[in-house]
Amino acid sequence: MSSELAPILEVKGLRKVFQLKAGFFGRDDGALVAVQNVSFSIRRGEILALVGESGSGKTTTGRLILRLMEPSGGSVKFDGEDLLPLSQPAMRAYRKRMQIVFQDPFSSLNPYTRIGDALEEPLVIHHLGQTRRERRDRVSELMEMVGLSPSQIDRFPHEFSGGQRQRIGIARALAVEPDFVVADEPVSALDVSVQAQIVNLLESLQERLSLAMLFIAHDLAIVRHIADNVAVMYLGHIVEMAPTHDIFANPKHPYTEALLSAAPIPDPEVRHQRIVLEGDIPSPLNPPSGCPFRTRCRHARPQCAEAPMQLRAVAPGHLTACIRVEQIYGVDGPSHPAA
Amino acid sequence: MSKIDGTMTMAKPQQDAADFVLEVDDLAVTFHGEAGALSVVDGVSLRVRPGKTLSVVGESGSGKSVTSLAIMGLLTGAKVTAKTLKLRDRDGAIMDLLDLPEKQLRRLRGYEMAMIFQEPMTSLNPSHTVGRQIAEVLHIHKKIGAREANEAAVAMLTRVGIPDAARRADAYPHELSGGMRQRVMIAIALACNPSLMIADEPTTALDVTIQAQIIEELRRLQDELGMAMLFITHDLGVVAEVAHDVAVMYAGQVVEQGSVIEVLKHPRHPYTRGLLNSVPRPDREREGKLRAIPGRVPDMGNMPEGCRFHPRCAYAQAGRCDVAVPPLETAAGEHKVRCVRWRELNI
Repeated sequence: MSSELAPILEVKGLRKVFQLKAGFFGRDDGALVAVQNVSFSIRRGEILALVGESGSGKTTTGRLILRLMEPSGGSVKFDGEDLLPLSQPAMRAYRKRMQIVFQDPFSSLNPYTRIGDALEEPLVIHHLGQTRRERRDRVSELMEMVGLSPSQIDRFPHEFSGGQRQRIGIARALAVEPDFVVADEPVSALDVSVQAQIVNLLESLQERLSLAMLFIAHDLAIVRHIADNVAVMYLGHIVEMAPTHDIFANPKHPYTEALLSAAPIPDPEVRHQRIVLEGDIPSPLNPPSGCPFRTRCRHARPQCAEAPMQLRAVAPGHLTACIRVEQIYGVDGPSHPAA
Repeated sequence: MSKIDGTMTMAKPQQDAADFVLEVDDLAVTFHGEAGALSVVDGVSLRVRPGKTLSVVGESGSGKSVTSLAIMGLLTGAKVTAKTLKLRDRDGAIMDLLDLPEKQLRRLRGYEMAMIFQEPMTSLNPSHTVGRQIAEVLHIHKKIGAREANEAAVAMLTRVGIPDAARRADAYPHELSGGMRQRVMIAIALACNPSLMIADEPTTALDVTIQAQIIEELRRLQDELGMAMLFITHDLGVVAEVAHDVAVMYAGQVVEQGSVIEVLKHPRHPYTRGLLNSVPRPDREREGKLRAIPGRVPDMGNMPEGCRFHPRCAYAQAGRCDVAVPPLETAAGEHKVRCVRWRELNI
């Protein structure tokens, strides 16, 4: 067992390049850099949220860590061991300790498999429980843990609501008692009234089992609620990373600031100053040089096109990639309110 | 009704009906399937004021989308009834949408009332340029020539904030981003300057920064063109951004309605309060665990007796909440609530 303070997961310089083959229309081969130089670490019992818009590389990052996709470079250390050089059989021991909860549990459940069997499967694969009876007892226990009734053990996925299916997805991830869970947009597909139930469930299980969690999301309100730390991604890069309180109270990157200001607040009397970004996210096939956000940034200067992307600390634990952070935000806090 | 063209009028508009662009009273939608009749919308009454936005909020199965399709006359295979379903056109004439023959209804759609949907890709024709798709609407409804329509299409694209519109008019839908496609849909919907625009979750599939752009754009266009909007969403944050009036739907019924301030700041119905409590705020520090609403939305075919929310309601009382569907009562002014206990509750 590692110490409480050492990170259980350490990601360094993670990179994923998709080589594009010439298509039907004879286009040139190209390379799409989906994840570029991503580094972070997560300790036991800690939740790091990875936020960003579509195409930011947040989901790919989650998959790379679990080696559901093979990284093109970098390292992923889990409990001190670098996972990337491991053979698939050697990787299996780590798979038990690292699990994933998907956005849409329905598409990840076999419609012809009874829930009890679906939950028993990981136990069989990882040789947990000697007898069927032992495994069945464990399945019942798991169902109760996530708020399902064990009497539903013989039901099929279609007999459950979206929220219940997400409970099943969580139960299946936790069946093998992992140390680390990637939760990839786990509540985005759910109704508002059910989202809160699942967020509360994830949170209480995470605390109880002292899980490390990578919480991938685009909903900033939920991130602020659940995460200890936040990393903001844009076009494959982490552009800012900080403890949750700091990033919300005191963002140090113009993209983070715009993202926060775009989050709708369910209060008609709060009229926040909104920074409406011009245009769309550039194509990852042809990303801007230098800072990837500069084409939409109201603070961009010519030097932003040249300086390489690099995170640096501006406060303890607070990293930003913006080279103009001092000019824009001063030393502590935004130099001017977003106006 | 006999021959009707642009100057369609009814005998006399009712005195107060003219204050609203859309007036819906007691709308009910029933589907008939193998399992018998299924009521999906029940007793819904809505009013949309000129130049204002009424937001219909609800979760899946609340009947919000079916309501909008019923208003547009786009529901097939369902029985739609209402005491009133009236649209006021640009000339102030009141049209009874339930009485109108399909041919005239078709003339209204796209001209007096237009609709945009969550996923523009499924509503746009993939094999025509976006310019042509806008021009088509103008050609059909305004009977203008191809060239003039094309020019108007480019102007429309500019108006909805598409840069380099002349060039973009020649693009096919798949060549545009999600945000651009939704702008194209808005351009098509607004091409004829309709009195009413119905927007069904128009920003749900978009990223937050793009959602902010589209909301901003819709607000600006509403100011410029003065159209009334019926905005359907599940997101209370979006409601606070766009709505003047709000109707909260649950399991096929409106449970609370009123001005956006009344409903979001002073909710009277335990469901509205529950929804507000269950969403964390992006602008606030964490305040302990989320206060989730237990249980889930009931099945259409298996509605609880009495108040449809009572099995999930913290304030439910046996013998009161589970006997009859509560009436929608006026709490103050336009603020209405469907709860037998609203007077005694301080939620």
